[in-house]
Amino acid sequence: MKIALVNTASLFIRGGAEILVDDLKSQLEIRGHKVDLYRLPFAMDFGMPLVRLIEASQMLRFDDYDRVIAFKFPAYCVKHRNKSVWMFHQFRQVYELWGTELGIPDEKKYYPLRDLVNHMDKALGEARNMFTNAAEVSKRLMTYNHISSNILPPPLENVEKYKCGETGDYIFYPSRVNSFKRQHLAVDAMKYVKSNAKLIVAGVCEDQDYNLQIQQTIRKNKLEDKIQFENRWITNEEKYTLMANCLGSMYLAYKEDSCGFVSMEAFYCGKPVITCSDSGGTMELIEDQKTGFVCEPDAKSIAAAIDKLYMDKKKAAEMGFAAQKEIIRRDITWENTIRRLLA
Amino acid sequence: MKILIAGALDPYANREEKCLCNDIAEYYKQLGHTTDICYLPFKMDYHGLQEQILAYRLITTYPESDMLITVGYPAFALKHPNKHAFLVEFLPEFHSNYNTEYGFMELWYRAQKDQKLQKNLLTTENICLSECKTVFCASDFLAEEISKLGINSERYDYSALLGKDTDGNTTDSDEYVIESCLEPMDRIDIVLKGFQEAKNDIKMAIYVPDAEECYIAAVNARIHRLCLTNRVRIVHGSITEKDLTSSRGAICLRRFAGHIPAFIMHAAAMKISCIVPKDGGSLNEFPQDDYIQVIEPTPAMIASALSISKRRKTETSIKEAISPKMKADLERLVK
Repeated sequence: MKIALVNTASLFIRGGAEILVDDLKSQLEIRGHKVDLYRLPFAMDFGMPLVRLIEASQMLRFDDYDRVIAFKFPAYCVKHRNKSVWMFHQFRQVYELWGTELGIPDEKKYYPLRDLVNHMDKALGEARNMFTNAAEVSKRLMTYNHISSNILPPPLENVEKYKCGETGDYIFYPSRVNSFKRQHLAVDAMKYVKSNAKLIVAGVCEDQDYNLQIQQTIRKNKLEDKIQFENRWITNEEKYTLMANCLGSMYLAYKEDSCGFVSMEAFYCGKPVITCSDSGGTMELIEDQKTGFVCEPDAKSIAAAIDKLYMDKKKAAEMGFAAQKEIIRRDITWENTIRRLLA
Repeated sequence: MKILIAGALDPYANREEKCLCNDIAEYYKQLGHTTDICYLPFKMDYHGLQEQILAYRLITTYPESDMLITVGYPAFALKHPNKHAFLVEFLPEFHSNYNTEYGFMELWYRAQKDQKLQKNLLTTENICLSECKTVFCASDFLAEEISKLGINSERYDYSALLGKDTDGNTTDSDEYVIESCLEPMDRIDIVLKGFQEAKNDIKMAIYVPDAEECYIAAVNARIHRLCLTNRVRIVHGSITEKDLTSSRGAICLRRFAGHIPAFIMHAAAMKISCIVPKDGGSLNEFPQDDYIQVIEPTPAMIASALSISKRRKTETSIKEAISPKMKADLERLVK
C-alpha cells in the first residue's frame, strides 16, 4: 500500500510524537508498504498564521496515496478518501486550556479561531478510522466534539532492548526538559529526600530561563552530589543502561494526554514509576502503591515516594516486576497497531 | 543558525530531491547549525497547480527558522525573508515541453483558458522566485529556462549517491540500464522500439523506483507487443552502484531534462557508455567524451548507438554527493 503519514511539526523540536511517527514509518516499510512522511510547519503564532495553516491543510493533495494517516492538529484536517486519524494532540488551547495561562485568552478576538478549530475537529467524524493514543484524548474528543474513538496506545520500538538490571540508588527521569514536564518539581523534591537516593535528569532543555531556574535550585540547595542533570539527548544505549539499573523512574508531566514513553520504558525494564495526581494519562498505566506512586504535585510528596523506594528496595523490585507484568499483559505491539490502523 | 530545509515531493519521484535535502541538512549540521527537514506533498495536476502553490504560500516558516532552503518544485513558493531555492526540475510540462505530447497541450477549443493557465502560473513562479535571495539550478539548461522568467540563478554541483548492494557480486550483466518513473518525457516507448530494431543479444533492465500503475501497465504492454519479454525486464527499485558497475551501458532519453539523473552522472564518471538525446536539455552538458553518445531520439538511432557503443572502463564512481563548490556555496549562504 502507498501510505502518507501527515504530521504537524514544531520546528527544530523532536519529542515523543515525532519519534513515534518515525517508528511507525519504519514499521510500515518493514511490512512492505511504501511510506512518505509529510510534516506541516506549525506556527507558534496562534493568530492568522495558524488560520492560514488550517486553510493550507485543506488544499494539499494526497490523492495518489492509498491511505493517509494523520496525527496532530491541523495535519489531521487534510482531505483524503481513506484517512485514518491516530490523534496525539488536539489544539487543547481552545478546549480545556481555554482562558488559562497555558491556553488562549478568553477574549472576543479569539472566538472565531475557537469556532474554526471546533468546526475542523467536528469534520474528524469523516475519517475512516478514528483512534487516539490515550483515554484522556478520547474523553476530550467526546466531551467537546461528540466524536467517538478507539484507543490505540503507541508501541515502543526495540522493546527487546529494555531489560531489567540491578536495583540502583537513583531515580531516572529522561524526557524533554520544560515546564510542562516539570523537572523543576523533581529537582525541588531532592531538597526533602532524607535517604541517599539520587536523581538523574536527562533531556534537552530548549528554554534557557527554565534551565537557569533548575541550575539555580541545584546550586542554592547544594544538591550537586544528589542530582545529575544531562542537558542533551542521551543515546539510546545510554538510556537502556540507565533505565535498566535505576531504582525507579519518574514522569511528572502536567495533564499529559498519554501515559508517556518514559512510563512504558520503565515498565518494560521492570521499574516502578513516580507520577503526580494531575499528570493526566500516566494514571492509565501506573497504579498507586502497586506499579509506582501517584503523588500530590508537590516536592515533599514526591520526596516521600523516592524515600519509600530507596528504604525498601525489595518492595521497589516487586513493584517493578508488577509493572513489567502489566505492560506485557497489555500486548502493545506494532503488529496489532498496524493491523488496526490499516483496517 | 536554525535552518529549515523544505522539500516538495510527489509520490512517484523525488528520490534525488530527498537525498539533496538530507545531504544539505547533514552538511549544515557538520558546520554546527541546527537543521530540520519538512516535506510537503505535490500532485502533478495541471488544473490544481495554483491551489497547491497557494497552500504552500499560506504556510509559515518564520520566525521559527532563521533561513529557509527549498528543494524542488514548488517548495520555493514558501515564504521566508531569508530564502534560497534549489531547483532540480522546473515543471517542464509548462515550460520546455509546453504544448507538446510530453507536456500540457493547449486544446483549440479552450486555447484562451489554457494560455491563461500557463500565464498565471509563470507569473506566480516569477513572484515566488523573485523573493529568493539565491536561486540555484541543477544545470545550465534549467538556468536558461528560469532566466525566461526574468530570474537570475547560479549552478550547483550535486549528484545523489546511488544505493549500495550488500552482496559483492560484480559479474557483468551485459544489460543496458535505465532508471525511470516511466513518465512520457522519458520516452521509454522510443527506447523499446530502438531495442527491437537492434541486435537480438542486447538486453535492458528498466529500474522503476516508483510509477503510476497505468504507466507500468503501458510499458509492460509495449514490451509484450514488441516481443521483447526475453530481452527487457522491469526491476522495481532504484539502480545501485553494483547494477551500474556490471551493466553494459546506461540510457536516458529524457526530453529537456532539468537535471542529469544520478545514474547517468555516475555512469559518465565511471566511463560507462551513455546514450542521451540531442534534445536532452541538461543531458547535453557533458563534455565531449567517447563514452557518451548524443543521438537523435529515434528508434533507428538508438539501434545504431547500441551496436557501436564502447565497452566500459569502469573508473571510480562519485564518492561525495556535495561537491567542494557546492560546499562553498552552502557556507556562503550562512555568512
